[in-house]
Amino acid sequence: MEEKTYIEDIDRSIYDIRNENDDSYRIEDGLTEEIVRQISREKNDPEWMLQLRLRSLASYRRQDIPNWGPPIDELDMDHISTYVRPNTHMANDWESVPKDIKDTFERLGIPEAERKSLAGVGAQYDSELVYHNVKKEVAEQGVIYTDLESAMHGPYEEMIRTHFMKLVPPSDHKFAALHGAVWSGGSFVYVPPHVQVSIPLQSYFRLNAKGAGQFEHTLILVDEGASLHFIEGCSAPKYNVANLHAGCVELYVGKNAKLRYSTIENWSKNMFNLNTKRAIVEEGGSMEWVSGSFGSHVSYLYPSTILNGPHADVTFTGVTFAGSGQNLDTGAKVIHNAPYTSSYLNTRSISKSGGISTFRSSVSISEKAHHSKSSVSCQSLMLDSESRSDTIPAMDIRAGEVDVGHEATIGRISNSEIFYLMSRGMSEDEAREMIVRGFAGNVSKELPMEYALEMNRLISIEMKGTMG
Amino acid sequence: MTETKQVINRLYAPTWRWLKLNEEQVSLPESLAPAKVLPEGQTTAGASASVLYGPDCGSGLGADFAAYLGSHLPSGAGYILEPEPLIRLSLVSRAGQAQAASFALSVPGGKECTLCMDYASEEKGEGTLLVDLQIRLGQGASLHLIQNDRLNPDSCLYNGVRVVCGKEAKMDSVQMWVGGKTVYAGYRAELEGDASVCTPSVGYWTRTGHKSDFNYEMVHRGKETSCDVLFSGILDEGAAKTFRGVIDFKTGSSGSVGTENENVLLTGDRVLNRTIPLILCSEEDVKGNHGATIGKLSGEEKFYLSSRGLDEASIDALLVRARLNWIVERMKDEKAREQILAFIGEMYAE
Repeated sequence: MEEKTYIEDIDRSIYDIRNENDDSYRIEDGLTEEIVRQISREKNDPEWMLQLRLRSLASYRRQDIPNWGPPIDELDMDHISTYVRPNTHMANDWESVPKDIKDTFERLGIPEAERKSLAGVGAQYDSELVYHNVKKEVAEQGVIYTDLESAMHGPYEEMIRTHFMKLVPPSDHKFAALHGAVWSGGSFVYVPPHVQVSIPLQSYFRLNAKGAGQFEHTLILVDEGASLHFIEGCSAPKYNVANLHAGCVELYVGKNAKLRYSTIENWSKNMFNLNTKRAIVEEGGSMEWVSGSFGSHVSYLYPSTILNGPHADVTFTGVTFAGSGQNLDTGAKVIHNAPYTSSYLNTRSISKSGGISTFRSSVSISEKAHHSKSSVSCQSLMLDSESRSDTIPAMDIRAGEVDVGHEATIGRISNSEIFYLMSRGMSEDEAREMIVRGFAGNVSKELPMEYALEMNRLISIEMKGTMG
Repeated sequence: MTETKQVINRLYAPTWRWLKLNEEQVSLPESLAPAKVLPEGQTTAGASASVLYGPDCGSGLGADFAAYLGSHLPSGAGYILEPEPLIRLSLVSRAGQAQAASFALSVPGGKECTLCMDYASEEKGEGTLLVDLQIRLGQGASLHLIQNDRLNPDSCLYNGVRVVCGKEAKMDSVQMWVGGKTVYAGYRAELEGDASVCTPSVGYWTRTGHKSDFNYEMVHRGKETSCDVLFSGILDEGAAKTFRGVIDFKTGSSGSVGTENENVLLTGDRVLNRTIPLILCSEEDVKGNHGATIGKLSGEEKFYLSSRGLDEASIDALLVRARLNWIVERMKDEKAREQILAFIGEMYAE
């Protein structure tokens, strides 16, 4: 009898470190106008931001829960604290960060990564940034990389006011509205025209508090002809109650500009990850998403891109690994809104031990987007019959002069592939491992070396078995 | 004419609501007349539609549509078909009327049948035709189904097919949706028996101002079942088409294979072409794949043919008809093939 391929769960021990929250400030659970006003006071919001929060709250109350995705009945907003402030202020050197928080980030390898391979780092702990720094030579190019709250009270307030939640309006969906009401933390990046940021910036989000939500906002503007690689990482220890992440990412890619946005999402398995990411790309601009989804109990994650100028393009490369107790609904959306635009979506998903992985996408080509091209490829690997894998790709094409291709496959590791590799001298375990790693390789090969290694560590694979 | 709001062609696993792909809302007539079915003298199901629409009986167009027919199907419009080797039926639609006919066919184990259904209009003018077909295939039974839509271009057609396949049963179907202005086609295959097979092939030509709405569901329950769904169609300027395709591998369907291919030729600059091909999988040992190509005629194809002396209009006509012929050739009945090719020729001439 054929023995099943066995793939171990991701080793989460280093992510499960918990710190006590005794000295932090925690707003009461639930969502009321008073809570929203209190957060606004804590953040020292300008008046326009308070009004945006209140409009968002009203929108949240009007909108219903999505009826098409994984169930989120276990998420009870009455038992979520929307704001937890660690007992520290933002620092720009690690020595000024409280020891327990610093140790957490040390274990996650953030300071080391900053020293080795990053142009700047932002580290958020619960609802606030605790560390933010950008290398001097990058700052000297005119690159702004700071926390959103500081930027909102400085010379960039107008830029923020005209871009914040304009790409993802609170009316977009219920959790965008929730974000608008209670957002806190996150980063603001501005890359001036024709500046090439040759090494990446990174933001890392850590949610330590039990039964809390994290609602950071990332706003990036890459001006004409400029380029940037931004990396986002996230993790949390596991609790026996629900935690919520409803962040928002808004990316503006200018004419002939280029932005790569890489994410390794590794939330704990009690997390509801209801995140919204959206980019708008102007003429000749280029957007690349690299996305690895490994954590969370439930995920709704579909980075979307509006190709708004001729010859703009987007590439989305994603891998999703759904294990026991996980229901990960991931994918991408693209709207072609100008002629000669192109999109390329390439995803892999792996399901095991009862995990549910759903690839969901949409490609919309408007009447204006003649001579556009789109290619969507999604491949799913099922490692046992307890698990589930679905693909739900939609295409809405309204222009005639277009070229659209789509392919999807679902299957298991083929015995013939294993046989071939074994005939080349590999053991069966080695062969299986190579196939699974190769299957997810579309993402790891797009990451800087340090992050590819991190991803490979995340997919800790152990094989055993014999051919049937 | 009073109407009732109904939901048909509901997407098997819903997605973002803003795409407006999850279902089709239609207004169905409150009052239906029996469709004219030739040859006359078919066995009817009696006065009650409950013979055809019992509690466990759905429709290819969805449960709501089955419930609607269950309560609205007029007396004498339900037929029990005898499993003869060749069954040839013509449904003649009358202008100004909403007509319906429902058919049940049970093919016993080991038997092979061909069922040809031809839809035509008696005269010009708006009319609505609702057709529903329930099929049960016994062990090793085989059915070749042909459905040709030759309705006039003001017609509206609702066509549901639901088939339950027993062990090693084989269902192949060829459907040509080239006539009516508005076509709603639903198809659900329950591959219950081990090694059962379903291979639907669909050709459509949605012309200017016309609308097609398709929902094809292949549900794999038995082991080593297979399906191969093929769609090949043409969308003219201002045409609208929605295709929902589902391959669902249920737990226990190990060794099964499902394939879905769609080929859409866009001849106009402004079209509405919507496609959502789902593959749902709760079984490890299966293979499912979907492929779609959507676009205009390639420059290479046109260049090759022009180098052979054809002008642009002739090239377009040739390549467009080739798309439809590709499906028509799969029909196992010569008369049906000739009828639909002649009809396509007439449409071209117009």
